Amino acid sequence: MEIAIIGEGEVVIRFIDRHGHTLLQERLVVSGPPGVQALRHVSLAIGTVRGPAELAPVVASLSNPQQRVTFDGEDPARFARRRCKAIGCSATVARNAARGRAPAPTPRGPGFASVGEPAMARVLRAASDPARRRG
Amino acid sequence: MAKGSIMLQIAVEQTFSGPVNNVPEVWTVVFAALDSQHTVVREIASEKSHAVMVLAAQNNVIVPAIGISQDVATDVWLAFNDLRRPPLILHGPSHVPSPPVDGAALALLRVRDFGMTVDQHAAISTIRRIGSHVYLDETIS
Repeated sequence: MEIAIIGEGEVVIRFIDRHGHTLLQERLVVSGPPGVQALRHVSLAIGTVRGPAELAPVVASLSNPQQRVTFDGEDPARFARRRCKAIGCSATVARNAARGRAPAPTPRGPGFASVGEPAMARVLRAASDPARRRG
Repeated sequence: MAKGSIMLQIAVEQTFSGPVNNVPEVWTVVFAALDSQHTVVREIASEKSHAVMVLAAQNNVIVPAIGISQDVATDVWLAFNDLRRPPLILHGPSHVPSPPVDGAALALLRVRDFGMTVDQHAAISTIRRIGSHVYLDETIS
């Protein structure tokens, strides 16, 4: 699948299996002049220890509301709904995916590189607080 | 017109929920139009940080050795309106200005990193962050 990104900002895409579990999250950050565009090619299947899994992409967040994203030239919500149906998601999972709702990945267990970062939106809000800026 | 100083940048961070048998490759490009004037590429740079563990999926399995590059492949393509003119391809990293190029209508930064696959007796646990940028200056010819 081709992900096209038009405009600057950070896009978080979660790839869910038919049960609605996020198996992979990609955070894509694009910077450049007005009119900048990016393309990313991804596979919609992954091999897990439980066997191969088909994936549906969900746009979980956009840092810039002016930024546009398409999946194979199609609106992400429509693509996610159609892909969810194709891989056997329930109607609830498909509806949530179309609305950009997918759980964050939760790496755990032995042998995992951990990530426990705070969401940057919250950090920016706190850093922008006038009281904090005055020191 | 000329675009002046331009930065193009792309970063990809992959977080997996569990061990996998295959880590997908990274292929991505970011691009912007130029005004076909006088272009100098000032810097091409990239960064990669990752952790990789290969685990046996069952007892008495010999875990394969695996070697991972510390870098990603980054190059910059300057393309021209005249499609008969081949694009100029500059490889990173580079921290000195390129020779000047006249007439480039498109600047494209390409970033690539390998995928990995192991058989069902092993699993890969990983997280990967990569990012690349190019600085270039376009001035009137």
